[in-house]
Amino acid sequence: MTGHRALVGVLGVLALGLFACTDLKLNPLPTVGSSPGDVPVAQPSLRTDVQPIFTARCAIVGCHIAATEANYGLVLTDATTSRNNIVNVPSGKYPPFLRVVPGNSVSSVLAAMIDDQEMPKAGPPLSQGTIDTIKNWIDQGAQDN
Amino acid sequence: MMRHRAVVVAIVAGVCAGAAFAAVPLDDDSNEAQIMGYYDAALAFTPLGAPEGALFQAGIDLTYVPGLSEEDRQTTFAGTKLENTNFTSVVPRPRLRYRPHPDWLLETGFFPKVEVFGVKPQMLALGTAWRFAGREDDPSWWVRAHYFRGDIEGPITCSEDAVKDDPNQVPSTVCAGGQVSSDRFRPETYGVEVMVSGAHLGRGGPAWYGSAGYSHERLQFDTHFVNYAGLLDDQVLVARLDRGAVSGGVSWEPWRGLRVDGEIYYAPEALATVRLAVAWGWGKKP
Repeated sequence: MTGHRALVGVLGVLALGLFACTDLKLNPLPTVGSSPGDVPVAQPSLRTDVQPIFTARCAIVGCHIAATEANYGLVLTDATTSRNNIVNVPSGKYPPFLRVVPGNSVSSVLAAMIDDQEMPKAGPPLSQGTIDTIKNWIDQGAQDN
Repeated sequence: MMRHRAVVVAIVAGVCAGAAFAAVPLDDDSNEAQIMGYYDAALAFTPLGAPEGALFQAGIDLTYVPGLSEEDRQTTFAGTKLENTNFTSVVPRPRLRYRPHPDWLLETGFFPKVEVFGVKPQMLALGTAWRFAGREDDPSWWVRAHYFRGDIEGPITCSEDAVKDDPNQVPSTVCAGGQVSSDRFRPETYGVEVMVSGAHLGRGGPAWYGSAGYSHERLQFDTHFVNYAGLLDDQVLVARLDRGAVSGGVSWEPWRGLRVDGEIYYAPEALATVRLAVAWGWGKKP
């Protein structure tokens, strides 16, 4: 009788094991700014056109959401912080070049890194339209607009 | 003058240290928060057994933790790599029970800081249940409060395999060429639940119970990883989640003093799992 009960118990445990499963509902990886159909903004604004790209693709967990040695202290969480951290600030990885040279995207490390697909590390590379939007903002003086 | 310099250096060092370890609050629905919540739910200090039995009981709980798929583990840290989370499928935890009164139960669960399954877990859990309606051997109602705190240290961000990977291969570019990480997952949970325990099913058969409750979770993840350039990536991520959960199970005493418990546990948007426990009881039943 005890053996029978033990067998029932073992079978019960195995049946319970089948019940175990994950119930996680996770979000897809960020793809903002990666669509081939992205059209460059001719006169971009930092707050309306550029920062949303930084927010979606750069200021994410593990990347530029908090200052660390590994990201050279570069935080891109909001427009003011982003601008203070990139405009006329020497690159941590490629000193003495500046992250953003106002009016000159060709000399800006940021533009070179997104052009070469070195950044963003997370998710798919930025589309040419998105890259051109950021470059336009730099070429027009990297305004606080 | 030297003293002033020392003070300035100390202040600057303190400010810098504070900046380096500033906690980053995570959204409730962020993947990082959800995955931390998944493991916290798996480690929840549930009743795992009807509140009955001998005065003292000592045993061990076993919780089955379903492994996360590669797809799930790639959704954190913006998909730059796979998280190394599947250390074990079964989490053991010793548990002690003390029944000073027929209507009152005290419990504790713990795990010392020793390396098992590639991680160093340190866990403490406390629980207390009080019967507010019903009697022994009849359906009775209990309210139960529980607390859990853990500090689990291991190579979660960058495993040994990930640092060996080809730096040109996605998704391990962040880890490749660096050092194995030493991260810490530090969950803390406060919970309360209502339990109903029933009479034994047949003479000498198992007793059943069920519970439904709410818990507040404070989840912290400290990354500590040195990358290929020798630069430290240290972030403190904090999430606060609230969740309901249900559980139910049976407790059976096949031999005098020996107790066996089985439980099904479901935490929505986290996991459904099973727990088993074996315990030995002694002392006169209160």
